[in-house]
Amino acid sequence: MNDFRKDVNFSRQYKRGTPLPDEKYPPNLLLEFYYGQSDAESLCSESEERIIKALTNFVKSQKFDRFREGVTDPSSLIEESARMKNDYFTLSGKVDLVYRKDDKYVIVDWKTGGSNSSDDSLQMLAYALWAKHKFECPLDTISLHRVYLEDNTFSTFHVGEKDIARVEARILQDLERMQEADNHGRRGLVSAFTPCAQPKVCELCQFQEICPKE
Amino acid sequence: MTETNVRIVQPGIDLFLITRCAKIIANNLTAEIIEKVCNRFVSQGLAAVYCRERKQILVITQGTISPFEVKEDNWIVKVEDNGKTQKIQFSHSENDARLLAQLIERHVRIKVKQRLKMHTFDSPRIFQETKPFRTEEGIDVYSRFEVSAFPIQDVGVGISVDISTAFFTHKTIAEIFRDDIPDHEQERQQDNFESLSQRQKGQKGTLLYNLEYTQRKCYFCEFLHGVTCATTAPLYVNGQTYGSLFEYYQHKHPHLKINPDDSVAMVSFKGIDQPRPVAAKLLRLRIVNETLPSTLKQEDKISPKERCDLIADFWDRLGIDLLGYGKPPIAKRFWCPGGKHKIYLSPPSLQFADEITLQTPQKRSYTDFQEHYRQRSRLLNKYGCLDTPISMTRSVNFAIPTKLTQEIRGSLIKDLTDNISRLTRKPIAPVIVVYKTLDEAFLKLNKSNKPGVVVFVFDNVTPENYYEVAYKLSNWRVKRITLRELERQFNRIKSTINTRNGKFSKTENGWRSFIEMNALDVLQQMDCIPWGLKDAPPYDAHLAIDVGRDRRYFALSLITFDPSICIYTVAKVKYDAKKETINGVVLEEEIMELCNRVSQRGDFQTLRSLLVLRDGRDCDGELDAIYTANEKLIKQKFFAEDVKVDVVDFHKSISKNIRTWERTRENEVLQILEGKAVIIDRNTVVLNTTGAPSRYQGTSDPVMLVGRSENINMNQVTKAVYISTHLNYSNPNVAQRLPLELKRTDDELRNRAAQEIRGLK
Repeated sequence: MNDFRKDVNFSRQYKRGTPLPDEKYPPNLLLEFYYGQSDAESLCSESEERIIKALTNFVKSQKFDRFREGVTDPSSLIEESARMKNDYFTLSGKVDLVYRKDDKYVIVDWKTGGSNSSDDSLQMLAYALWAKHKFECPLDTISLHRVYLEDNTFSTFHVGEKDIARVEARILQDLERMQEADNHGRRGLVSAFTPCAQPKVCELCQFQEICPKE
Repeated sequence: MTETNVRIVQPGIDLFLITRCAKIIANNLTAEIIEKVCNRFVSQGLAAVYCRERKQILVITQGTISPFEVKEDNWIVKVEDNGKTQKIQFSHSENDARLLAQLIERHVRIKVKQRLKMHTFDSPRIFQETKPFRTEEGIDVYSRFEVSAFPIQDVGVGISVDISTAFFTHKTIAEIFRDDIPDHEQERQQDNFESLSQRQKGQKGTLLYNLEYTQRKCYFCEFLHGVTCATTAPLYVNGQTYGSLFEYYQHKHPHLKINPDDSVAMVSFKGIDQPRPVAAKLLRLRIVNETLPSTLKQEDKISPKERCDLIADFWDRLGIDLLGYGKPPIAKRFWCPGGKHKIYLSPPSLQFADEITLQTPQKRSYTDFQEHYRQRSRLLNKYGCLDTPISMTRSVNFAIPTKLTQEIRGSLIKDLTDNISRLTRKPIAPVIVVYKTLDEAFLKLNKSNKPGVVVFVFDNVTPENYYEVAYKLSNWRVKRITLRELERQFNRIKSTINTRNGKFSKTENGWRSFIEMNALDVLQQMDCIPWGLKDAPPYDAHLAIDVGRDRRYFALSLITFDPSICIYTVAKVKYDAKKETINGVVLEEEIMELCNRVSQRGDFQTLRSLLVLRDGRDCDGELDAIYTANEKLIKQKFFAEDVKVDVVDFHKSISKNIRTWERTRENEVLQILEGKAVIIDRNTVVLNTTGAPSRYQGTSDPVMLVGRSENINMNQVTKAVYISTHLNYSNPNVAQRLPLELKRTDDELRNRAAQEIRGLK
C-alpha cells in the first residue's frame, strides 16, 4: 500500500522530461498521470480502496485459510522464478505461491481485482506446464488456484494432458506472431505496424507518446 | 428466362422521391455519429440517409422534423429541420441513385418490422420469423429473410429479398442447465449443449437473447449455479444502478415477467467489455449447421423453386405499396435482366496430357456442360497429369496410427499409391511410418533426409494436434486424413463387398471416389498440374489476396498461365487482427516475395497483365501497396512496361444477396445453368460460377465482382474468373465456386483457422 501511495505521489509531481530518480527501485510512473488522464485521481482513489479491501481479505478471509497456511509452510515457494525450456521455447515468469499439501503441488495466483467468468487461463495453464517439468509429476498432482482477493472468491483449474498440449500449441502460435512482428521491428519499419486506434486499448498503452495513432 | 430475386421500385429509372432535409450540428461528424443519428430516425419510424455532397440528412417524410439530440460519452449532436425539401432522382447522378437505394432499403426495413412483426438478430437487414416452421430433435427451425436495395444501371432501384434458415435449441439455457433433474440427465443435456454449439474449449456459443419486442445476439460465458435474478450483485446499466438483476428487469422490461428465483447466466455482448448477467430463461443457443442432426441437415438447402415461392409469399405478405399511398409501388414480378445486363460464358477448352484437348461445349446446355465435367475425370485418368515437376519426389510417406487395422492400412496405401502412380505416370513408392504418439511420427519423419509429401492419418482431430503437425513438419507437405473418416469409408465397402458380380456397388464407388479425391489433393501438394487451358486467358496471371475470417492470417496466391500453369500460395500472420485491411508495407513485401519466387522458375516469362482479386470488404488502403509493388516489379522486368493491372473486389458472399434462377414456364423454376452473369452496373457483376448441371441441392450461390481500377473491362474480368474456376483439380466432376487462386488462399486460411487455439487468455 505504501509503495502504491509512493507511486501516486511521485507520478503526481513528475515533470515530463526530467530524469527518473537514480535509485535501485525507483517509484513507478503511472501512465494515467503521465498522459494527463482527466480521471487519474479518481482511478487512484478507487484503486486504493480496492487494494485495502483485497489486503483485508488476504489477511482475514476464512475462505483463504488454507492458502495462508501454504504461505507459512517453510518449504513453500513464494514469488518463485519459474523457468523451463523445451526444444521449441523457453518459458519464464514468476509464480506467486507454490506449496505441497497431501501429495499435491498447490499453485496459487493472487489477483487483487475481481473475478471474471473465464474458466480457462493461459497463465494458469502455463504454470501447470512449468510445474509438470519442474517437479516431474503427473498432472493430477497439480492443483491450480486463482484467488480473487477483492471478491473474496477463488477458482480452481483442472488440468489434463489435452490442456497441456493446448497451452504448448498456443505459446508456439504466439511466438510465431511475435517473430513475424520482430522481423519488421528490427528493420525499423514503423509503418508495418498498423496503429490500433481503439481509444480504450490505447488508453492503457505505455507507448502512446511515440505512436503515430493513425 | 433468367429471373432474379430482385424487384424494381417503379417506375424504374424515372424514380424520384421528395425528401425532407435536416441539419446536423456537430463538432466532428464521424461515420459513427451519422449512423447513430440515422438509427434515431429509424426508431421514430423514418428512413434517413446522410448526403455528403449536400451536407444534410435526407428523410422520407412529408412533415417537418422535430428537433432532437443524440448524446454519447464524448459527443453530442443536434438535429433539426432545415425547412427545405430535396428531390432525389435516380437518373440525376450515381450519387442520387445510391442515396435513393439506401433510403428505400431503410424504409423497407422499417415496413418489414411494422407489417410482418419480424425480429432482427444478426444484422438490421436480416429478419427472422417469430415462430419456427419446424421443431425436430429439440431444435427449432426458423426462416429468415434478408432485404437489400441497390441501384441497377439503366433499370432503377432493385430490392432483393433472400431466404435462409436459422436453428436454435427449443429449450432455453435455464432448462438446459436446470439442476432439479437427475445428475446423468444434467450431464447429458450439458454435453449436448457443448456439442451443438461446437465450442472449442473456452470459446463461447452464440445465444439469442429474446426480450420479446426485440432480440439481441450475445455469447455464452457461464451458467451461474445457485444464483437467481434476485441474488445477483448490484448492476450498473446506462448510468443507473439496480439492486439486482430482478430489479433491473422490473424497471426496464416488466413485460418479460421475470421472477426473483429465475436462474442466471453470464453472457457477453459485442461492444461491452465485461460479461453481464441475464435471465437464463430468455436465452436460446444458436446451432451451427455442422452440428445439426441428419434429419435437419437438408433444411437449409432451398431449391430455386421453393426459394422463389417463399420470397414471393414474403412480398405478398409485405405488400408492394411500401412507400405509401400515391407513391411509387414495387414491381409485382421479379426482375428479369435484359440482354445488355447478361453475360453468358461456357467452360473453356481444356488441355490434357498427350496433346488431348477437351473442347469448350458446343452449346450452352445442361447435357453439354455435364459431358464436359464427366470428360475431365475420364481424360485425366486415361492420360495422366498435364505437367509433373521434373524433380518430383517418387515416394509418398504415410504416417499411420498403430490402431488402424492392417487391412485398412494396406488398402489405403496400395490404392492411393496406385492412383498417384497412374495420374503422374511415374512409379511412386510408399514409405510407411507407423506411430503410437505424434512425437514418434515427427521423430521418424524428420529423420528423413529430404522432406516430401506425407499422408498423415490422424486419430484425434483437435486444433492443437493440427497445429503440432503443421509446426513440427513445417518442411513437409501434409495431406491430412482423419482416422474416423477413413474407417467409415472403408467399413462401408467391406459390408457390401461381393454383393454384385463384377460390378462396382455404390459403396465401392464411394471408396474409389474417396481415394481419388485424396490422390488429387496429394497431386496438388506435389505441384502436379492435372490439366491446363487450351487458349490464353484474358490475363497472364491472377493474384488472390484473402484475409481469414478472424483476421489473424492473410494469404496470397499467384497463378501464371504461360507457358504452363504455375501456382504459389503463402499464408502469413496478420498481427493487426482488429483490422480487415492488410498493412500496406507488409502486403507490398509479401507480393514482392511471391513474385520473386515465381520469377525464379526457369520458364518464367515477363507478364503483360495481372488480375488482382481481393476477397472482401473495406480494403482501400491496400491499393497503394499493390500499385507500389507494381512499380518495383516493372523495374525488375517481372512485369512489362505497359503491364495492365486490374484490381477487383471478389465477394464470396454477396452483401446484396442476389440470386438467379431459370423460369421456363409460369410455374416452373429451375437451377440456373452455370456461367451466367448479371451486370448490375459498369463495375459490378454477379456471376454464377456454380449451378446446373453439377449443383444438385440448394440454389446457385453466385459471387460478386466489383471493379476497382479505372476503365476496367468487367466482361474480361468475369471471363477470367470463370475460366479459373474450371481448374477444379480437387473434384473434376463438380463445378468449383472459387477460381483456383482464391480456392487455394481460402483452403490455406481454413487450415490456419482449424489450428488456432482459441479461448485461452
